[in-house]
Amino acid sequence: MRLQDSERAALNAAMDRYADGNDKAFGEVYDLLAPRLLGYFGRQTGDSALAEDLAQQTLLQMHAARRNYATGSDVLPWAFAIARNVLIDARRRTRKEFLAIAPDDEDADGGDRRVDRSSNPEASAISRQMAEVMHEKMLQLPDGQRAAFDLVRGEGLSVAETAEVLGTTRIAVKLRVHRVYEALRSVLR
Amino acid sequence: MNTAVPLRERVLSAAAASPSMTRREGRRLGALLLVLSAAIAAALFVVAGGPSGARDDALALRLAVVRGWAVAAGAFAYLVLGRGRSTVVRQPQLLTAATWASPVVMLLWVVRFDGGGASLADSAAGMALGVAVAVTPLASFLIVRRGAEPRYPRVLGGAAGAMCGAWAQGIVLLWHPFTSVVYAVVAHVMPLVVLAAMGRVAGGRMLAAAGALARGDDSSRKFRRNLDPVSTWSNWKDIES
Repeated sequence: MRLQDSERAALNAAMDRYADGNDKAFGEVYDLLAPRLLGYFGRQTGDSALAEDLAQQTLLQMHAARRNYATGSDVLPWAFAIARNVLIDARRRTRKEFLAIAPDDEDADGGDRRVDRSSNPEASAISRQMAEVMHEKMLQLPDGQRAAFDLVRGEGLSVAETAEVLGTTRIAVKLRVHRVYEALRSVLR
Repeated sequence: MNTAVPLRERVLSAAAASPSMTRREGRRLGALLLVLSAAIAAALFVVAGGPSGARDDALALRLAVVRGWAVAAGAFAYLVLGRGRSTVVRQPQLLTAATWASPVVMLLWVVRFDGGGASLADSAAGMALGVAVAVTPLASFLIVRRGAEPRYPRVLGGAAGAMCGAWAQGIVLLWHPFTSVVYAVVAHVMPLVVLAAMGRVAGGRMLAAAGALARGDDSSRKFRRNLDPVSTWSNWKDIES
């Protein structure tokens, strides 16, 4: 789920008002941001209840840190930087091995599912098999590459925003995403 | 999404139950702590003997050393505190480079002047003054930004420590403008290194908005592996495009 430019602007404006003390604006922030966070955590954990917990923690961290929200800045890189930390914290706390959503898990939330598998069983099987192979390949890639790819392709963040979230340069992000593409292409050949 | 309805209520009620500081309140607190830090710095300067405690009274030398260093400290503060239109901190590599460049620049700057040497006791006193003056602004920074940095709080804390140390060095230079290499290392360079280390440790404990990655713990790196399994890329054609 990606935010349109107008929604992003509305999110930034709502966060600005909330940082200035308009408590009602937090509801707007929630409405615009929570679905994305739920999608992100859903993809990362494969557990909708856990995803809700983590989204709640992320939003409350933003609430606690609102005094430091820079006027006119973009909420998404900041929110995803917190979200990533929350995810790592949760993993660390529970030592739970987050299971990736299996590529054929139809109940999973938040993913792009644009292949119509119902029309052709053979195409569906090929597509599923390909997805499994690519899924395995993704798991073998370094975390930095996967994270960059997920934020750019999955969340629709720009290269600059992804660089902010990951604390690296734009060139490094481009390189990481490119390497993921290359890795996936090598699977497809 | 049905599950989002109770979550919305949970989040909003939890936020309402634990009020947080607004931006205006944060700025007010920051200004108050800045004034307090300046007052404590002035008091320490007076207690240490003030300008009259210096063994030479070359006012022009003092002003020349302090003026040049103030420019460097100002640039350093801009690097550490300036975020532009972003809520996350600058790149950690830049902050780290600035942190460790500050003692080197300090040393190179001070030894350019001919202010003579000092006893070890004077050097130690200079070091103590530099650290003491910088502690309050560093603590103020940590309080104001507490729990609000999602990225690299240890790096930011270290940079803040060196930045506060750099400003404190203005007081030390005004107090005793000795410029021998030994004095510069003990009284000017060491405080910056000590404060950067203090800031790094305190930053990791106080600034992190959430957890392991934010603190940048080495032990957390292993948890990053397999953390972001991008698992729903079922549409490989879309990815390829």
